[in-house]
Amino acid sequence: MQESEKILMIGYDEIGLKGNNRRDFINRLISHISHAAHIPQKDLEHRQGRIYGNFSQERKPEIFNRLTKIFGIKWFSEAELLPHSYEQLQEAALKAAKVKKKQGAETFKIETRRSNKDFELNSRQINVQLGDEVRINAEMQVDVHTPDVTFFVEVRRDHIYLYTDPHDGPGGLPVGSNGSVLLLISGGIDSPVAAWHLMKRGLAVDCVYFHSPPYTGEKALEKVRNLVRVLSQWNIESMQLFVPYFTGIQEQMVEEMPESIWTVAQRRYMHRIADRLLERESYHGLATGDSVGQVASQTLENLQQIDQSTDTLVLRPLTGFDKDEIISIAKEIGSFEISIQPYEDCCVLFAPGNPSTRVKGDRLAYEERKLDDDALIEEALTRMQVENYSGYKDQYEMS
Amino acid sequence: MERQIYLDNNATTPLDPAVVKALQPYLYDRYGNASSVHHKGVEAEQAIDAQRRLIAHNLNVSPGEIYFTSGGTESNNLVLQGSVRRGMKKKQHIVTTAIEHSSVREVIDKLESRKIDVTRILPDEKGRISVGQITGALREETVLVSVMHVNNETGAILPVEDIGKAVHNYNSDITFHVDGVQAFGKYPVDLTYIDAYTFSGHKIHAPKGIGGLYIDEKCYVEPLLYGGGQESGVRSGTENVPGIVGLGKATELMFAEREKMLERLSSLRNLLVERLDGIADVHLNTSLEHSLPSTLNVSFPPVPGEVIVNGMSEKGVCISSGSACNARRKAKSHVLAAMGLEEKYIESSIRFSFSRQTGKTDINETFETLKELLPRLKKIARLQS
Ligand SMILES: Cc1ncc(COP(=O)(O)O)c(C=O)c1O
Repeated sequence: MQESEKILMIGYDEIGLKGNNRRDFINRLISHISHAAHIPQKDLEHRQGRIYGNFSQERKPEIFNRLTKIFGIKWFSEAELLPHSYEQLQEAALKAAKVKKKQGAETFKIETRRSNKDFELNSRQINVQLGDEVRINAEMQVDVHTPDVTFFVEVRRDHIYLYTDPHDGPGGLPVGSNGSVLLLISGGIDSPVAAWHLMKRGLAVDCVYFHSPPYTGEKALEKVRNLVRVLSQWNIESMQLFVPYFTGIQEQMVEEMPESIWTVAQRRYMHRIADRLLERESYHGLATGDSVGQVASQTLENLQQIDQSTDTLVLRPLTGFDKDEIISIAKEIGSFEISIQPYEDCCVLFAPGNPSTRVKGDRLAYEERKLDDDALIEEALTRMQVENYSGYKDQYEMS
Repeated sequence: MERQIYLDNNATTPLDPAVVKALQPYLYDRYGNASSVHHKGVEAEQAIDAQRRLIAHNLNVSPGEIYFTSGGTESNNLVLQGSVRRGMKKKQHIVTTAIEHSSVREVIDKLESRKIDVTRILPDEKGRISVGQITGALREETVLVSVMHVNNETGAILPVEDIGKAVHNYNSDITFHVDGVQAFGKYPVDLTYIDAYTFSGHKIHAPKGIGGLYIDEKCYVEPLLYGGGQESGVRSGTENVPGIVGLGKATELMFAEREKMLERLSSLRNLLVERLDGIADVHLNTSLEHSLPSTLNVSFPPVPGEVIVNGMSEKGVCISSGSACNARRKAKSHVLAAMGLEEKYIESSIRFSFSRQTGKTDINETFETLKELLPRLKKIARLQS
């Protein structure tokens, strides 16, 4: 007997999608799947609220791996493509059941959806007949609540689709469908997780990392590069990393300003430099990995002072998260192991022993007048390095 | 970056061109597996045996007592794990020092967690450990003593030959291991009372991933790796023939030039110390009389050592803060801490380590670079309370 035809089946969440939005969503998703999973666009097709793809079996592990990182995908599975014949459906289901049984599955359920009303049996009838067949001939027990395996049957206009074990996609919206932001990344645990949440909501993310040699070393920068390499897999096209030269500002800051305001002052300069990039590269806003109240720079008073350094929208997707929640996502996306490497992104010399949790605006304005702001920010930008990481391509290359 | 000055030779060394030349044929035409019966196999086997004889000759031991491994870490693990019997009812006890390399320290920590007693001897403020301190710690249950020959962070030389004699006199059943990674080829050693001696290729201008171990024929060491029975069953796995040939050549070169090199490095180190003496607040962590001249550990409080390393690296000079492995773990140097150094000296310590490729201009240029770099860093470092 000939191997039956296998097809890739991808589900997305349609809630809230209408008209142009919907078309844009689907086109973007198809292009992302094509790009990230290396499936030619001609082999991907949108029909009746699903995306279908032709693919070769030997590429399955690679494709499945990549689909788990494409925002907008709710679930995906490999399905068997069958003609509108109950006999063939039964034969295929029984064969699949026997395989599952051999792998240790004891209980099952059948879940049928029928959009083709011309088919000889309705959903309930298929559930019952096919259920009996599998129960008797594959010797498995029915369990509708917690089955070891569920056989999904979809009777559609073109074919019948039979599949088991749908995989979860990451959900969310296709990256870029809601605009773009520039994220202030550090080597820490939080900012990569913030990037992930932003991308999940359809934002394309680029990163800016403030490097201050010799106070921070090459290793700290390399650690950030590795984080961007991981994150760029979710960003589909590529991810830019801007590395402004922050040494000049920090050195003048510690010389001119009282220690207690260093933390807030540094952040204000970071935001001002990032804001200059935002104008140049036309991002819609800035983003940070702050959550409220962990450290001095994250009290509401100080966050307010930081935000008043620019006129720009600043997104802080982790505001409501606990550290545990952040860590568990970091582990899931693979940034955690990189983030906990010990190379510091801020030298101890610029970390005040006793930072103020409530810096006053007029105080900041007064202190900041002591610095050659414009010249220092200009220097930070002229000595900036710009690097580009493109999804999977750079994962194995050495710089 | 045009200029490259490399003064981090305790971390690793560049290959010697003569070593490359010696091992190259074994990367190309002489690719045989030493276990094979045909002539390609014999060719490889002969090369390995020749290196074994060469190293044994230089160490004054018999070739059957030399085993090749993947490096210092494996050699240390092999002896330490392999000479302590598992599941013994009787109490077992180990004596070691508080300044060992992580590849000794971590293994012994692990053994300790399996209910084996451990005594760790602290050095004095100059990094020295005396024979009396070791013998004073010996007990009836002592099965193993492990003491490094030369410390990788300070260069301190430990009196392992005398310790060996004393341990042997106390109880000749005790296995006495010496981690000789930083001493091999640089400092003479008499193995008469040493049961096991670790060495590594990449510290002496041979490739990374090759090393060896001397084990006295009277000692039994349980293998870590089982398989094809290579290295008399002590270390299974197809031999790294190019590595072994490289290690042999590197050993030959080191032993031939040892005395000359020590003399030269001694004057180079003196030159650096003299020049550094002119810098305010410099603190020497290496005792010049009791150390190998290839290492100089100094502090410049209050500048963090890592910041100096970064700044020097930008100028093309490679040095390290603490030990290369410590820099990664961000642990403060356990060696300097064990010596009882003040925190400010530990945090601001840097290490220069030289090799036979180091020249006078390297020293002078390194000094000039440091002199130029330090004032700015000191000024910034002093601004924080
Ligand atoms: C004293 C000492 N022992 C052991 C080692 C480990 O040797 P290897 O790098 O060959 O594993 C080193 C080097 O890092 C060392 O300095």
